[in-house]
Amino acid sequence: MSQGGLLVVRGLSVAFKTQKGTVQAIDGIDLDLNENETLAIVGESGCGKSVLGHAIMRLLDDIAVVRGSVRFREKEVYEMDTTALLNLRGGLISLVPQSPSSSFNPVITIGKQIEELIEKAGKEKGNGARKRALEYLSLAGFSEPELIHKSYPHRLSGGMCERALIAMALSVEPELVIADEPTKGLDALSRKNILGLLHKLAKDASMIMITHDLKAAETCERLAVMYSGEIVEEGPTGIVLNHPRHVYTKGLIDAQPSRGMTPIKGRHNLFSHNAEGCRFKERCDAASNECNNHPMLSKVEDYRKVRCCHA
Amino acid sequence: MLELVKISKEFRTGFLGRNVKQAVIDASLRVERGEIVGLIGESGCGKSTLGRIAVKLLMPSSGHIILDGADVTDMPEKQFREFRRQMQIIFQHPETALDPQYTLLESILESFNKIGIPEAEQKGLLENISEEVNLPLDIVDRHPNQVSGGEIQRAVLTRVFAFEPRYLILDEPTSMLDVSVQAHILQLLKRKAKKDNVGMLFISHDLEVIRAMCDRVAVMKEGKILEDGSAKEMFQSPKSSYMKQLLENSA
Repeated sequence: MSQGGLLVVRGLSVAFKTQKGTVQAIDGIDLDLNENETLAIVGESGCGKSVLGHAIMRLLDDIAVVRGSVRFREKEVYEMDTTALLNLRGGLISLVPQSPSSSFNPVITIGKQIEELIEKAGKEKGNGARKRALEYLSLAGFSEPELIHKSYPHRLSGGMCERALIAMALSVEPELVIADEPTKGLDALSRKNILGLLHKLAKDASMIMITHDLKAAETCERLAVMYSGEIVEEGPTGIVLNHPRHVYTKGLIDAQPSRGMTPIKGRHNLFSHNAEGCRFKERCDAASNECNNHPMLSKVEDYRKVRCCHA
Repeated sequence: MLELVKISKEFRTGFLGRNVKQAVIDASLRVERGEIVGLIGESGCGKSTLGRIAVKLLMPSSGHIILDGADVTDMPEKQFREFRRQMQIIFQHPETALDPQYTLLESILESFNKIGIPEAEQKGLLENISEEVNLPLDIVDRHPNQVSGGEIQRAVLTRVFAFEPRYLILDEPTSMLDVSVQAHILQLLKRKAKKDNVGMLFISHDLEVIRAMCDRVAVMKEGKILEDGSAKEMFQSPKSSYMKQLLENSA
């Protein structure tokens, strides 16, 4: 949590203007990531975790109103010119996007798409790029990289597409990998393979894994739990999962089938992002008058922060 | 009882159907009313194909589908229609489960009309079922792309429960949902099975979900059912090495 980390995010907020009013997708996010550190961000659909990933890479549409600061290697991402930005995306920071099967261009072969990225990032050219693409496909566990290289995306299953996407993202040797729901919809064996692969290929890089799967999150060193656009609990993964301090974190853990499948009461509402006071209070059994004041994310132990006045 | 007896299914692709893919091989399975039977296996093992065959969305290449004693395998469509109401299927991907041009309400009323529920009773029925499945009525005027995956699955359940099915085929009904939404829907299905004596075939690759939900479990690999037994036995002392391997991988 030193100031000079790889990625320093301060007070990052993103709002979208919709017909029904402004939705504060993420609100006042502070995040630090050191070199070679892995961080999992978990939360339900709509909590803003993917928006956070995209905001870090400045990939959001112009309709998004972004405030706050994202500093990568001490350079402000939101002040970069086009050249610096192109160098950042796909060079220094790689994104493994959600929905693997629709992330590739359907009319270009897998190999060409990987080569294109390698060339754009200025790593290799021509035959060198091809060699590197094949090398990363085989690192990604394909026994016949040539065959995958010349295949069109529709010929690959969901799990294979995910592996090819990881190969592509890692082929440029980025310093930070942002993996968005890498295990969604995969069976147990594929999930295990994908997680192993991500950690193996990204061993010299830092990683932010965005997921709703607590099992996947367990493979990262640190964990941040998001609710309604805010981080509600953050700390070393083992400690947070074994001794959760926020009611929402507890709820997520107990909702897992292996832990009794207890649903969290109420439902998550996009517009609760704008609510006064604690955003979780409607769904919380411990809610009291105190919860009408918006709680701060405060340190409760060394390395652990919780946003709850009862924690 | 819903019985699948020695079901096989082959798909032919390529020129003159020269490539033959055996998707299901000699698979037998039975589901009693009120019982939840899990069907597990990796992607591509044929479990979804078997689920579709059970409701005759696909015809088996050989074998029999027996519903409460009646062989419905080769029954003409008209005669089969009565039986179809008794077994319903729910699919994995909520975003493609409903017609995107209909609002949730239109999709629900479509099925009410198919069942022949008089218009005067439709509102009451909708209120009853939506309470059972926890579908908020203030969102039923929206289209599928305007609601969450969990809300679509609740709308799908509203449609399906209106048929008062005896059997449900659930093909990965919650694998695209958040864990707390998943917990809601799983609890609701479990309650339904016991309360209304519905037999369920629960297809999933998530062993944790199967373990929490099912009374009996069958394991499928490369089109064949390898092992079949009570959930407790299967998870505590699996016989097939494949089941052991699956358990190790999910740990």
